[in-house]
Amino acid sequence: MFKFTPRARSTSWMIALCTMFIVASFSVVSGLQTSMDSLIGNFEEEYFLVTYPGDDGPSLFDRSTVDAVDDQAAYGIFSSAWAEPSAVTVTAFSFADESAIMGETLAVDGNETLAGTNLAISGYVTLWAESSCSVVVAGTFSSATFSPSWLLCSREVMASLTAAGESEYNFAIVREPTSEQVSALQADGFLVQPMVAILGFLESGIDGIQSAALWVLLPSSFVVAVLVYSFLGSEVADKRREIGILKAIGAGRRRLVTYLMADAFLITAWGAALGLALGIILSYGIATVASHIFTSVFLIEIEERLLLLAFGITLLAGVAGTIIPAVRSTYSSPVADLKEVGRF
Amino acid sequence: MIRRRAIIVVALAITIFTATSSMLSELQSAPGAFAGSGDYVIHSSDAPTIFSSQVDVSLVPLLLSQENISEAWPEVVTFSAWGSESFVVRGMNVDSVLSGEHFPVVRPLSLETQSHLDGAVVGSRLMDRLGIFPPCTIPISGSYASHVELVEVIGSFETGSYLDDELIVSEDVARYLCNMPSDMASLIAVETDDPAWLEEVLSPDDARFALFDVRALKTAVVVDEDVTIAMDIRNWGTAAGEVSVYIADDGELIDEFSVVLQASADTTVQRQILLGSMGVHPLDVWLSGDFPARTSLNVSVVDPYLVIAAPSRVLLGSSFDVAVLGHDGGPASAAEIVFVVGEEQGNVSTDDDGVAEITPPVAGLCMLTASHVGYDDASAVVEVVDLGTYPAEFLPQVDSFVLSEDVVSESEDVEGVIVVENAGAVGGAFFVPVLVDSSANKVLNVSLGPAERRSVSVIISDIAVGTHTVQVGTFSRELTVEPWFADEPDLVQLVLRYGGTGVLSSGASIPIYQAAKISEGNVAVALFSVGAISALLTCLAISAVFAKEVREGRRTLGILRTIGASRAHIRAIVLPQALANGSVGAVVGVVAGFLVAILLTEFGLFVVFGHALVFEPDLSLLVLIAVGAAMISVSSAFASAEMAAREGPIASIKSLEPGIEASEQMSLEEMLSDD
Repeated sequence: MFKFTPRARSTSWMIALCTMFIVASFSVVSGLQTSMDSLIGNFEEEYFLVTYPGDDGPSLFDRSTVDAVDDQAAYGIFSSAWAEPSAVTVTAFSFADESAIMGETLAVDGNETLAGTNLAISGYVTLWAESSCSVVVAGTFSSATFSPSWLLCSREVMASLTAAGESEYNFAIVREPTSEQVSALQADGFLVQPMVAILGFLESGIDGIQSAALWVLLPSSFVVAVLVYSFLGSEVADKRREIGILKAIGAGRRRLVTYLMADAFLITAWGAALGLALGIILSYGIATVASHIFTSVFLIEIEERLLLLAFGITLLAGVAGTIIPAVRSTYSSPVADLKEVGRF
Repeated sequence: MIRRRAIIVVALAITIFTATSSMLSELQSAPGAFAGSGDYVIHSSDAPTIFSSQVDVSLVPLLLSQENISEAWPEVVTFSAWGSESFVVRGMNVDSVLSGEHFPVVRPLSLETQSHLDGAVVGSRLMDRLGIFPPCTIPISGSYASHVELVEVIGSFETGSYLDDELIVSEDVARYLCNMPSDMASLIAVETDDPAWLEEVLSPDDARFALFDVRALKTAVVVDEDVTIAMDIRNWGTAAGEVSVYIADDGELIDEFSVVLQASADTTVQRQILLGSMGVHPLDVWLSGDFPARTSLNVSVVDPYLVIAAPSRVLLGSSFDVAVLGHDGGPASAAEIVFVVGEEQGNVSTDDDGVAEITPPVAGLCMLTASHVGYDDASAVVEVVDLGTYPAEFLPQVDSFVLSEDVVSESEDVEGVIVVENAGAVGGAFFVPVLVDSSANKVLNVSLGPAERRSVSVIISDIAVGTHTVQVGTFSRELTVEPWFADEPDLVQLVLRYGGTGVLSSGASIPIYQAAKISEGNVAVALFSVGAISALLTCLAISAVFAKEVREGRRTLGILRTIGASRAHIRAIVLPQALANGSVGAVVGVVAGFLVAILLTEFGLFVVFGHALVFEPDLSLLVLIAVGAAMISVSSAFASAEMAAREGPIASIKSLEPGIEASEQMSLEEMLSDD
């Protein structure tokens, strides 16, 4: 029953255009992903900050609760504190790096504190947080990790300010945790964040573009469905006589639908295959032309799984577009079909 | 012919087209997100990303000094993470945010606590995304290096703009997160009462000239002596051009010439000027054009004078040469030199080379006075020392140190003059370190004879903008290196400094995707492709459904053609139906498409580099998309009408496949006999 008629050919070409669009879109987005991956490779995600979120900020946690990463962790307590007589709020912190994971020593004893190089505070200071504590600013500190606006205190001072217990802290810095360790910490309610934000930022950016790119499937699939619907509608109108004969010789609805869907499937598959080829050619064409036009190299990445997805989506849309005309054609009587009644 | 149900497909197709176009238009306008709230932003033109852009914050007061600029403020744009969420961090004056000074606040900012050194306010959408409720404290990560900063979120705000996706912190906190120097910012936001003026001034499309460093090679000349006026002229526009330069003496034009320069080129021009009368001559030098610049300087015309050159120190018993020159640098022959040392006095005359030899009879200060007919006298002092009063060793020391200028512009050199002397009777060499901010900038190797005293000069270069201490021996001088524009705090110098290295953009023109160093081309091509192909696919869908309708009614068309209807008649029947259905479908589709776009953005489905897309349709966008949809429908209607008109009458009645000639298949008789 299937003939690759001019109408079928033109429908296939139009379907190919849709598939080409999907493939080219996916290729562009994959190219963006590749660009991003190469950029991400320039940065290193070594340290992670672990905190236990509370209502108004990081809460204290017992060191034993992060025992799984203890040998690769440094612990500390930080807190905002009101400083008198300077009358400013400062971030006071203590830090203990027993496992020497950070490569810098930040320690003071007793009531001595060290001010960050950007913190204009000196002399005797009273800090107010959950409780108050008198300290003396004995000098300055600089750190590759902690803000120059912070005030380095001893653990005793911070424990006094935050009412922390003997083995309680409110942040830990963990070096190179495994994904399992991160998952375990998160499962226990901890927030685990990389201390270098760029990786997450870039990944979230490209994720956004990728998810946006998936939306191209919507118009493409719709148009494929409409094309197949139109094609099959016309086919059914043209072949009512043949359909009537098939019905008259005993073909059931299922068989008829199968015939029609097979027709649609063939032209859709042909169009999709053609579209994949055109899409690949178009992608490289875009890459070549755009690389000449724009200053940077235009990256195109054609992934096999995305080609399969484009092919599959096109087929599905084609099948979806088949359903209405195919099913409707089975409802007319064979006599009416054989009379080939036209619509006036 | 074309049934009403075609409207459904048309409406659906146009809905998709409208929604897609709307989202694309938002993607296109999304770059404004990083521009924040300013009308215009100035950022580095050579920075690949807005995050790597660095502009000097000292530009802000200069901008504010301009009459047409109402507001200018620095912003540091970076990003950070809390938990698993990444977001944009904007460093700016939090107090101005609290007061709603820089952007209109839709929902009054909820301020939950008192101001804090590192206080932050969070946009409403970001607040929802992070799940935080101010006041609270969150530790956030550094942008590029392992840093941690504890920020106290003291309130939230809602503007209905991209800012709602951001955390606004103090400039210092943002700088710390991204390691930006304290005197830099990512961008400077500018608001102006006269946008056209600002765009014209800072982003010229044609040649634009600036005049700077106008100087006289001699500030005192004699009557009838030419004075050389030198000046630098730069074309900071984007096209080659010619400019006229004028020089006036006390308001009277005395010279006029033209300079042709390529884009971004500069040149030094020297002009010989003859000033007639004695006295001080105020000279004005200026450029023509839309953006004139004027500089003034004074040159004095004096009587002819002598210049005397002699060593500063000589040994008793030795002779030394004294050179006497005229004001024009030529030797003054037969000039009389009178020298007085203590009680002793003598006189000599210069030879043809203007040189005379003097042997001082005693130690002490030797006063020299040169005179010549027609010239003003010149004088000098030479110290005559008795070596017997000096210790028998090499005792070098720095006697004085001065800088030629205490204030220079960035990239300019400064000359230091060091007077060194040997306080001993034995000659030798020694090293003189020149320290800039306690670091050795130059080390000079100076040789001195017995009791010799002399000057050496040193060029100090490549000094960073700022105030520095230059130390030689026990002498320290403060040297201030100013940014370029500080020479002349007007817009000309401002542009000189920033015209070549900075760029002015409208708030919507910073490429958002460059934020992640993604090729600008990728995005441009992607957006264009998606838009164009979306329109094409919509055309295909509508044409296909119209074609189907025409196909299904082709028997009617065939009969109409058979009974005499021409193609024009067929077009006249089909086109109005297609137009009517297409128009109704387009209207429904446009409305539905906009609703879909609004819903998609309301749900925050599209988040690109920390900013959720915000659909803010303006009238022009609505009209553009509606016109696009109407054109798609109309063109599809025309296509279907043409398709119907081209149907052969017999083929139509027989419902033959398109492209198959009926005559090849059956005769008219066969056709007529068929039911």
